[in-house]
Amino acid sequence: MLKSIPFRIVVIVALLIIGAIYLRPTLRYEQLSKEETQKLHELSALTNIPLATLGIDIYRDDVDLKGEVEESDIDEVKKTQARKLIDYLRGPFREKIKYHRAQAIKRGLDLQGGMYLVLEVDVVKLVENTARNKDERCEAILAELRDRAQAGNVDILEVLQEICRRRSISLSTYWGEAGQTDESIRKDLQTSGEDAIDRSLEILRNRIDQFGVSEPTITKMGSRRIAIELPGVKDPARARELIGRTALLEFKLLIEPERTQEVLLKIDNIVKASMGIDTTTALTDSAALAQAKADTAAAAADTAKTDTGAAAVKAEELFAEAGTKTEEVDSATLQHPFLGLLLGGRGDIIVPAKNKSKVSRYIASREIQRTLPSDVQFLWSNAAEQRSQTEESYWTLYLVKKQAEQTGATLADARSTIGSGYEPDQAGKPIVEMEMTRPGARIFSRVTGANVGKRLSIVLDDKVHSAPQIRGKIPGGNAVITGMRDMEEARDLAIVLRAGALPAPVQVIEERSVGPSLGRDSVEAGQLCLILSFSAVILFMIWYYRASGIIADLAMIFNVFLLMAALALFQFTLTMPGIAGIILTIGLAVDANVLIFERIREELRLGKTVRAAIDTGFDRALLTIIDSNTTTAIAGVVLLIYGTGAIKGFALTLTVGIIINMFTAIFLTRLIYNIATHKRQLKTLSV
Amino acid sequence: MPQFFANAHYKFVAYRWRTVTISGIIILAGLVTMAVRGPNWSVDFRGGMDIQVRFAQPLSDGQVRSALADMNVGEVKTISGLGQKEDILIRLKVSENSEETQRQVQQKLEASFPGNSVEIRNVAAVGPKVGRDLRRSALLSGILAVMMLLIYISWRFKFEFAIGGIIALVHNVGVTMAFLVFFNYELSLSVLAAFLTLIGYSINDTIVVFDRIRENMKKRRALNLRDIMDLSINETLSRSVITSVTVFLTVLVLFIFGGDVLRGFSFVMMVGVIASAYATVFVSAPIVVEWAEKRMVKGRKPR
Repeated sequence: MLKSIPFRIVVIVALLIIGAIYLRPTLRYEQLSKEETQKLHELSALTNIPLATLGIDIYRDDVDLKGEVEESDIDEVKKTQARKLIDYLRGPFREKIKYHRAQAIKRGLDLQGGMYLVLEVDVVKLVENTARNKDERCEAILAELRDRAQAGNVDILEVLQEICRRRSISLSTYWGEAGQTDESIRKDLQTSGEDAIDRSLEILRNRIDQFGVSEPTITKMGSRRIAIELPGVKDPARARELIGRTALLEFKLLIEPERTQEVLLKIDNIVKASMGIDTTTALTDSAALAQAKADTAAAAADTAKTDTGAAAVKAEELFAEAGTKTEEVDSATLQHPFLGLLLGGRGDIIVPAKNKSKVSRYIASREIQRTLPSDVQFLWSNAAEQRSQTEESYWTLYLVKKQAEQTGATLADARSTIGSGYEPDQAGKPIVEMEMTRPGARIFSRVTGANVGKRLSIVLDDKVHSAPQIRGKIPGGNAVITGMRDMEEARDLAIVLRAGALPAPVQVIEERSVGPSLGRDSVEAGQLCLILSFSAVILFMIWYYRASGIIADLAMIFNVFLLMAALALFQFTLTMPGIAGIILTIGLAVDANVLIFERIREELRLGKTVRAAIDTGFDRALLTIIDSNTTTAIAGVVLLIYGTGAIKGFALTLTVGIIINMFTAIFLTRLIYNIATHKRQLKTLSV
Repeated sequence: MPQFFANAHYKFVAYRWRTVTISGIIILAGLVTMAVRGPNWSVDFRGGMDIQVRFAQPLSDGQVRSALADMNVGEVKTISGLGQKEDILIRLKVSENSEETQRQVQQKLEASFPGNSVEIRNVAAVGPKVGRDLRRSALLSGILAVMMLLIYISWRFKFEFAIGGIIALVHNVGVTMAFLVFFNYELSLSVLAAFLTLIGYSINDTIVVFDRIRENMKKRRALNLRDIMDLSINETLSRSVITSVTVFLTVLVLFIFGGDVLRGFSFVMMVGVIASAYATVFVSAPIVVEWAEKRMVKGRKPR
C-alpha cells in the first residue's frame, strides 16, 4: 500500500491541509497584532498615556483605564474616541487575539521582545532565618556558609553539615529540636528549602499573572533556581522589581527617641575611639547627652501640635554639621565623627544623601553591631527625600525593634489608590490601602492599643515607608503604605502584597531582556534570510538539475511548510537561532535529493533505462540518507536535551527539520518521479 | 546540464600526508593563538553584562566609552545592529544589580548626549555562577554528542570507520576553532550550538563516503582498500560539493543578513562546511586506510 500512488497522493494532500489549518492562526495573529499596535498608538496619542504603560495595562481588569481617561484633561471628543477604542480592544478583539495567539507559533523572547530571568532562592538566608539562639559561633558558621555558597552550585545543606561537623557542633544546637540527629535536621531543612522554592514559584506565578503578562513561563531549574520568561514585557525594570522583591511587609515599633539618642552617642564614641581620637573629653559626651535631653524636652514643647512630635529632637545644635556651614566643621566632625554626619529634624535621624554610604558602613561594622542592643536594628527610609528644589536630598534612618509586631502574612487585600484627606504624605499621592484578615485585625488592634503614643513603622523589605505615631487603638485592621514614586509603583506594590511575600529572598543570577524594536528587526532579518536562502538554493538546484531541481525545490518548500506547521501544532517556540535552524534545514533538505539525483545520474551513465535508474537510485540512496541524517539528528537531540535558551530553539527546528526532511525526500520526491514515469516511458530524464 | 567532476579519478589517498599536514598546521596555529590570547568567552560563559544601545543620531564607540569612563566598563564597540543601522555594545564586568547598572548607563548616556535619545535594545546579565554552569554543560553536551556518534557509526560500520569519522570531526572542529580564534570571534552559546551542529554535519558528510566504500567493498572485491577509497571518494565527489555549496549558500546569507546575534554562529558554519568538505575528501578516508592497513600488517599480510 505504501507504494501505491493514490495512497501517497492522499497522504501528501492530507498533510498539506492539516499544515494549512495549523498555520492559519499564525498568519491571522500576525494581522491582529499589527492592528493592535496601530490601535494602541492611536489610543496613546489620544490620551497621552505612554505606549509602554498602555501595552501593559490595556488588558488588565484591575486597571480602570476608562476612569483614567475620564479624569484626564483632554477634550470631550478625544475622550469619546478613546473610550470607544478601549471598549473595542477590551471587548471582542481581546478574545480574538487571545485565541489566535494561543494557536499561533510561539515567538521567542528574542523575536518579540521580553525578558528572561533566572532567580536563585537564597537558601543560606533560609538557613539563617530558621536558626535559633544565634550567637557568635553560629554567625561564624553562617559566614563561612555564605562564602562557600558563592563558589558555585553546591548543596548548601551538605556544606552546612560539613562545617558543623568540622567544628564539632551538632546541628541541633541551632536548628531543629534539641536532641534531633543531624541527618533528620538536614532532611527537615531540605524539605523546608524545597517547600520554599515551590511556594516561591506559586507566589511568583501569582504576581506575574496579576501583572498582566500574556503567557509567561515559570519553571523550576534544579533545586534552587527558578526560570521565568516574560514575553512582550515592555518595561523590564518594572517587571524585574515586581518579581525580584521579597515583599516582606512588617510592622515594627520605633525605639523611643531618648534611647535612640543614647545609642547614637554610643556609636559616636566607638567611631571616635576607632579613629584614634583622644576621648578624654568624656565630659563633652555627657554634656551632649544632657543637651540632647534638654532639646528633646524643648522640642516636645515646641512641636506639640505636629503629629510626629512625640519627642522631636532639635538637633541643629547637637548635630554640629548642619546644612548651613558644612565646610567649617572640622572640629565638630572630629569631636563627633558619627553624629557629625547626621542632621536632626522632627524627631527623625536625617542623613544627607552624600553621607549615606558612610553612615551605612559605620552601622554595619562589626564593633557597632556588637554594641547595639540585641533587640534593635537600624533601617533606612525607602527613598531619598527633597524638601525643596534648592535643598539637597536626604535619607531618614530609623532605629526600630528587631521583632516585628506583625507581618504581611495577615493581609487580606491590598489596593492601590490616590490618597485623600489631609495627611500631607497621602493627599493626592499614590498609596496602597491594606486590609487585614480577621485575626490580623485583632493583632493590629492589640498592638496599636498597647502602644498609643509610640511610632509604628511600616517596613517593606527592610525599608521604612512611613512611621506614623499611633494616636489610638485601630480596630478595623486597615493600614496604608505611602512613599511610592508613582501610581505604577503603587499598583505593582499592591500586586506583590496580595500575592504574598517570598519565603526567602531571591537573587537574579541571569537576566536577558530584548527590546521590542530589536525583536521586530530580528523578525525582519529572519524573514529576509529565509527568502534569500530559499531563492539561492532554489536557483542553484534548478541550474544544476533542471527539471529534477524543481522537484527537489518543491520537496524543500513542502519540507519548510511542514516544519512550520509542526512548530504550531506542538506549540514550540520559534527563536532567532530557531530561524537559523530552519535555514540550515533548507540547505540540508536538498542534500537527500542531491544524493538521489547523483545516484540516478550514475545509473543512467551506466546505461540503465530511466525507470530502472530511478528505482536503483532511490534504493541505493535510501540507506545513505538515513545514515547521514541520523548523525545530524543525534547532534540535534543532544543539543535539545542539554542546551539552554538560544541553543534549544535552534536544536528544535534542526531536529524536527531533519525528521521531516527524511520523510519528504523518500516519500514526496519519489512520488513525483513515479507520477512522471507512470504509464509513460520516459526516454530521457532531466536530472 | 552542468556536472561537477563527471569523470573524476583523483588519487586522494596518495596525497594524504600533505593534506593532513596543512590541516595540522592550521589547527596548531589556532591552538597557539588561543594559548597566547586566552579564550574569548562571551558573556554567557564569562559572566558579566552586555548592554546593546542605539542612539537616534549615531555616535562612535569612542564617544560612548568616554561618557562611561567612570564605570567599570570592559569593552565598548560598534556592532551591526539589524535594520541597516549600527548599535553600540557595552560590556561590563559586573552582573549584580543589573537593573541599577542599566539605569546608570542610561542616565550617563542621556546626560552626556543631551538631545540624542538612547534606546536599550538588548541586555544580557549573567552571574559568574551561571557562566560556570553553562561552560560545564556545554562541555558535557559536546562529549555526549561525540560518544553517541561513535556508538552509532561503530554499529552501522566498522570501528575503523568510526575512528575515521571522529578524526574528521576533530579536524573540522579544530580548523574551525582556529579560524574563530584568528578572527577573534567570541565563544557564545550560539557559537557553541554551531559547533555541535558542525559535529553532526561533518559526520553526515563523511558517512556518505563511508556508505559508498562499504558498498564498493562488497561489489568490487578485486580492488585493494586504497583504490576502493579513491573510487568512492571520486564517485561521491560531486554530491559532497553540491551539498556543501547549498549549505554554504544558506549560512552565507545568515552571515551577511542575520545580524550580530547570528554572526558568530554563521561564521562557524561557513568555515565548518568548507573544512568538512575538505576533511571528507582528504582526511577521513585516508586515515581509515592508514589504520586498516596497519592492522592488516600486524595480522596477516595482504596478498
